[in-house]
This record gives sequence, structure tokens and C-alpha cells, in this order.
Amino acid sequence: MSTLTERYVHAATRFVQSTDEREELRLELQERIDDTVSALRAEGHDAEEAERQALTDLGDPLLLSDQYRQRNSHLIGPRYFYTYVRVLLIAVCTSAPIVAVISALLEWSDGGDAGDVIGGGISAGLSIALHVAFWTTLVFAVLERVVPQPPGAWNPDMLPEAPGTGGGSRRSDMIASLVALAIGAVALVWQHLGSPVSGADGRIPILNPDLWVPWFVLLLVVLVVEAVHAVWLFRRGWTWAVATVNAVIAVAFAAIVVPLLLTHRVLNPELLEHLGWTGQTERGDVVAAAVILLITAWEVAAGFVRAARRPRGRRA
Amino acid sequence: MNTDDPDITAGHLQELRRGTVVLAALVVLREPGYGYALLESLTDQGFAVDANTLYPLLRRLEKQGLLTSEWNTEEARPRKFYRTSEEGTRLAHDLMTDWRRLDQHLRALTEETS
Repeated sequence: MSTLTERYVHAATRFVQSTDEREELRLELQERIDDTVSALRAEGHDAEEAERQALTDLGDPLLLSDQYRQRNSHLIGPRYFYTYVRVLLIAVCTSAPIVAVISALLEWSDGGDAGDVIGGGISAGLSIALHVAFWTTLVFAVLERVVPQPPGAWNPDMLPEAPGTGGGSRRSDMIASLVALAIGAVALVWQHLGSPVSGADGRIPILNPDLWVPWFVLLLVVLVVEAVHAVWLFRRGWTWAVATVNAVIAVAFAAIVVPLLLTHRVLNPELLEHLGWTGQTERGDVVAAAVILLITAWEVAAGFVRAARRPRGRRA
Repeated sequence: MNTDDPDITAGHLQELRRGTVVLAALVVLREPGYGYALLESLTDQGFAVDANTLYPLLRRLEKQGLLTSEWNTEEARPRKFYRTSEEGTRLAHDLMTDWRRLDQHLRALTEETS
């Protein structure tokens, strides 16, 4: 059986990758332990007691090894800690409820009873939360070890805008909204005129062409109103009026799209026939409708919450 | 107030002494020495230093080029002998100058206030 010292030195050096470094550390620890034991024996301790005492003073071998090698024994250090916590919270809190609702709806459309629907939703939500948390943590743990310390230190320009003072962040919000709306409008027209799917009689639009009047035209109107609203929001911030109009627009969008989805009229029947998908997209319609309802609820609530949080008596 | 709390006092004393251990080690190791011998001589000279601080410190100073090291295998047990490098000597000189300056300022401060 090996001695306590041998076991200690092994425990302290076993995770050192480089052979040279491991051997050096082994010799250094051996020297330190031998010297300490000799000193303790000179003070009158017997051999076994002296060894035990010397090793106890050294403490946990892995911590000692970290101290010697100036390694950090943390998974995610102060550099990324707050970013990690924020990303983790946002990722888990957005993905878990969405997946839970979708999978509950799938259970429901499969004809599951209440238990299946609720249980399926909760277990899917939990498992996605676990996945997201694990992968987020893994990515940050890798970043912590791979990314070198940035040469540029923190400077005051990196400070975020104080709430309610508008300016930079609201301008970029507006630009992002306008770009997204433009992409939405262009996509709506493009799927009709430039659809990538072609049949015998030319291009087959992706969405049902019978819906252009009045529904898609109304959608375009909603998009234009949203763009005006985005500019208004930029100029005034989240006032109650802005939040109310925001809610009206969100509900109008859902009111147009959700009934069309639930009656399975959104996709072009000709396209489905061409692709051989007839009758297979109904569940997808339901899921899409659910997601839109969820996002609408979120939009409405977020607008009012921001209006409520806005500091009183200040004009941006 | 609990200014008599031994833990608080010990903590501040430790912080105050932290840099002096580096200085003392650089001075003592102008003559080559190994870990335990240095530990004993520092303790004898009145520098209360913990082995768990000193051994990793020697490694760090070596990594920074302030100490050089050599394994002595002539005796029954191999020992790592450290010696202050030229850079280490220069640093020791700078540290010593600063220590004296601080001491002077502290004296001036206490004379003013007392």
C-alpha cells in the first residue's frame, strides 16, 4: 500500500497535463512534505503523526495544486459572470414557455386528455430549460478558457443609457423595427411575385392568392401603421398612448392572421397540392396561430409594462 | 465598535505585511536557499509567513523572472534552490526605497495628527 505522502502527491499532480510540469510539481511537493515532516519529527512527533500533520497543513491537494500553478478553479469567472446570468435567464425564460405551449398544443391536437396536455407541456418545458441551461453554461465555460483577456479595458463609453433619457438605444430600436417591417412587407410581396416554387403554369405563390383582397392588403396597412408607430415611439418614448396604440396594432395583426390560420387558408392550396402536402399542414397552422397569440400577448404586456415603468414628469 | 476583534486586526496586519514577504525573500535569497530553509529564516527574522503563502510565492517570483532555480541533487533528497536574479535585485532595491518613503510619510502623518 502506498504511503499517505505518495497518495497526496499523486492527488495533487494527477490533473497536470504536461509531463515536465507534473514531474516538477511532484518533486517540489515531495521536498516540501519531507522537510515539514523532518521538522515536525525534530519537535518530537512520531513518524506517522508528523506525516499526517504535514499533509493536513497542506490542505486539499487540488486547491494546493491550483495555488501552485496559479490556476483559477472557477467555471465562469467575474469577467463573464453577469453576462452569463443575463443570457441564461433570458434564454430559459423565453424558450421554456414557448416550447411548453407548443408541445401542449401538439398533445391537444393529437387528441390527448387534459393530463397529457398539461403534463406534456410541463415536461417539454422543463427539458428544454435544462438543455438551454446546460448549453449556455458550456458555451460560457469554454469562452472563459478560450478567449484571451481583452487588451482594451473598460471605459465609460460602454455605460448603458440611463432609463427614460431616450437617445441612443431608442434610436437603434426604431431602426431595428423599421428594418424588420420593411423585410416583412417585402417578403409578403415577394412570396407572390417571386416564389421559388414553380409549377407548369409558372410560379406558385406560397400564400393563398385569394386572400390578397382584403386580408393581405390590410396586413400591409398594419405594417405601415406599425412603421409610423415606431417613429412615434422613438420621439415620445413609452407613453400610455403609445402603449395603447402598440396593443391595438398587435391585436389587429393577430385578428387578421389567427382566424386565417385556424381555418387553414393561409397557405396556397395549389402549392400544397404541388408539393403533395395537402392535409398535412393543419397542425402547423395551429402551432403558428398559438405562437402568434403568445407573441401578441407578450407585445401588449411589454408595451404597458414599459409605459408603467417610465419615470413620471420627464420628457425625452 | 469592535476594533478589538482579533480577526479584523489579523486581516489588516496580513494585508500590511503581504508585500514585505516578497521583499524579504528577494533579500534573503541573494544567497541560494530552498523553501523550508527560507521559511525558517524568515520566521526567525520576525516575518511571520505561512508555508501555504511562501511556497506558491516562490514559484510565482520564479515565473516572473525575479528568482532563478536549480535542483540540488547532491544530498539524499533533491531540493529546489532559489536565487534572486538581477531583475529581482533591482526590484528589491525599488521596493526598499518605497518602503522607506512610506515609513517617512507615515511618520510625518502621525506627527502632524498627534
